[in-house]
Amino acid sequence: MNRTGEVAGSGLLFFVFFLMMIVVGAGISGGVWMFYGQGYDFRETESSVLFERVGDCFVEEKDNFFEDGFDIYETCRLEKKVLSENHLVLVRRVSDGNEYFIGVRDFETQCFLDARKKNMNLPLCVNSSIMKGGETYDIVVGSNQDSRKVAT
Amino acid sequence: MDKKGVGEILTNNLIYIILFLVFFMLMFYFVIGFQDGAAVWEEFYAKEIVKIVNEAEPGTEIYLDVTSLTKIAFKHGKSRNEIIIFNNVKNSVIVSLISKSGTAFNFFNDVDIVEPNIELISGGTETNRLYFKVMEKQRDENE
Repeated sequence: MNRTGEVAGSGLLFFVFFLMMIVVGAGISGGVWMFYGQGYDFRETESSVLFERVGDCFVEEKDNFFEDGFDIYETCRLEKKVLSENHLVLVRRVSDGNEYFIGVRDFETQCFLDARKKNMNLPLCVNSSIMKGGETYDIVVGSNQDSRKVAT
Repeated sequence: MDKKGVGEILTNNLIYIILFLVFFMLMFYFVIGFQDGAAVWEEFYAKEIVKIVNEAEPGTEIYLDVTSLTKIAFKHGKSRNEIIIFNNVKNSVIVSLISKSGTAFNFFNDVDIVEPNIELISGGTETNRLYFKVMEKQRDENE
């Protein structure tokens, strides 16, 4: 018996088997995805809620934001573990460019990419200015947090 | 054909069968999650509850109609206290409509959720609502 040919044949069958699995799996996943869509896009809503929270807090605690040792988490009652991975809060004083930020700094760029609406991995942001005490402050708040499946 | 050849064929077939079963179970688990729109409702409610929590001030009491959610969950054999779970350590809400799986989403409001309960609205036989109270974060002394 030609053992080399037999081994090669088995290997080829294994490859075909895997290919079939991938095609069937992709077909089922694609069908489900087409029927249910990408999911519930919550990024913009979350950014808006966070912007309101930070905006209110900023108006009340304006001077503290740019002081050494200022803790936004304690002052504005925000959770550090959650905000540090999938969010950005950036406050910039326009007059001197002084900045205070927490979270993912790169979101400042990603927020304005064209693909942000379709790509759920990119953040959606709220970008606005606040006037207070004769100074203008730019505030950028963004989120790309998505739900995740967990075992219960 | 010798015994060694038969053994090899059996082993090969066994590997294919095991792989197919693993694949079938994975796909079954994936598709069953979408039965009755369970995955969609889980995600929707997890995010909406998080929105409510994020906007709430400590001391707020929340009542939320979750009838559409409980109908699906009861159908899958879930009990009332297994459907919506708040984790105050991880600041997350888990909505679970099918067994052994759920959808989690984090809230950034630094608060604790206490007394969560799904209850029957007084006078209603089928309408369920979720009740919970938002409280100041109880810090561990070691933190």
